[in-house]
Amino acid sequence: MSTYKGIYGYAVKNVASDPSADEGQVWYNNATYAFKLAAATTVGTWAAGGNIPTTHYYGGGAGTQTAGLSFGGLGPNFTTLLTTTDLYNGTSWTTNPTGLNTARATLGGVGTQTAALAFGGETPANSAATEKWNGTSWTSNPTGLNTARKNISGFGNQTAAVAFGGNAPGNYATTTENWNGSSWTSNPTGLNTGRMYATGFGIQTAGIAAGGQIGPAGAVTATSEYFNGTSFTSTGSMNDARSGLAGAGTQTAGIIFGGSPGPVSAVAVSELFNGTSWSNIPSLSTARNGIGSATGASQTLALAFGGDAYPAPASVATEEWTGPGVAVTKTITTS
Amino acid sequence: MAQNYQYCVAECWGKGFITHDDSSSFQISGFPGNVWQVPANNRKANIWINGIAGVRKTHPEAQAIVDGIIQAAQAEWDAIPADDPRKIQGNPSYRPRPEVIVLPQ
Repeated sequence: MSTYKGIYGYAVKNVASDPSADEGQVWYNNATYAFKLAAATTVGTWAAGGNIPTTHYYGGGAGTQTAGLSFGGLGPNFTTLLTTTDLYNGTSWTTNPTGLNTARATLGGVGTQTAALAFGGETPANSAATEKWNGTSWTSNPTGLNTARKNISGFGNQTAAVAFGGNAPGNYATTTENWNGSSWTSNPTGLNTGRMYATGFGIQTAGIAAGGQIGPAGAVTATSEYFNGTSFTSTGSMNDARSGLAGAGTQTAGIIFGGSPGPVSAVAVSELFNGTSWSNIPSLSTARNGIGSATGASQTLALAFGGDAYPAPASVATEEWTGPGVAVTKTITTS
Repeated sequence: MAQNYQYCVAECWGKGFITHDDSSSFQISGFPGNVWQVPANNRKANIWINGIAGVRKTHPEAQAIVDGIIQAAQAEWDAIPADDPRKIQGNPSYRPRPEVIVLPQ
């Protein structure tokens, strides 16, 4: 009879916990008494990550799936504005000793776990406040947004970002501003569709604005817009119109998840963007509105956390997305 | 009537509660009250419930747990003053009266 060692020249490793493995690797987990295989997913999957210590929704996010950052938001009673900043290491969250200088929710967030940017939001007044994160603490920028806004969105990084939409006087803002690392400049042209509670992903010269609330009584949109560094152009529509969603990735490889299809509700729907069109992918296990995202993450390795699990309370759940073609651990079964 | 889903109660402890292997094998949906829905008559789903030490619930039992959470949330909402931000539409704190969730069989 053929043996694994006879075929491959080495035995299956016997380990106590699943290793970080390349596609095709096989091992035996002696804690769970199971043979395991690193195999690529065909459609992508969500898996549970470490629970976030601060129950919140409509907070800001930055970083990646293995180095994530969460800041601000509304607390579990849906009224307390938070400064709390939590860091994710791919397994668990820790709360930073210090938080944002300005407590707020519905703010924008971009960047990495060591260099992030927080802007706008509600305090509960419309806020223009802009803060920089250096991996340890937040510093208030001397100048803020030119147009103070809540329910704002954006994309980019700490030195080159775009803020768009939100709820400024006049509601459903089309206003956009460019960040150069030290100050915001109003863009001469704005969004084609004014929106708030939208999501954005990409870089300052190649970003996407998607979804959001566009009218009274919670009317939501499925439209998305493409930003080329100067102006926005309408592009493909999402399959599911919603606001309060979150996203990550690039202009040609993005991901969105969660949100609300009406005034206040919660969905688990997730979609991928390929640069021109959207396609549905497996849903989150827990539907959530005002969900957080590590906005610097990729389409293949995204991170979702917190959110309003209406009609249930706000959620502490974190979910990790692994996209098609990326190896994940599978249990080998014989039947 | 054939059951399409089965239910259990378990508290999500975080990493490892739902793995990529689980998600790629069957659909897992969470509901209020730590109620989890997975396909009925599915061997991997059964293994998952055992693995997370889930307490199996019949459909009526699971529905009763969810109803209890929703009714408590409705009572809490009803007690909020009308001028509270949580009852003012357009405010991010706004939450409409929690609606009943009907779990599929």
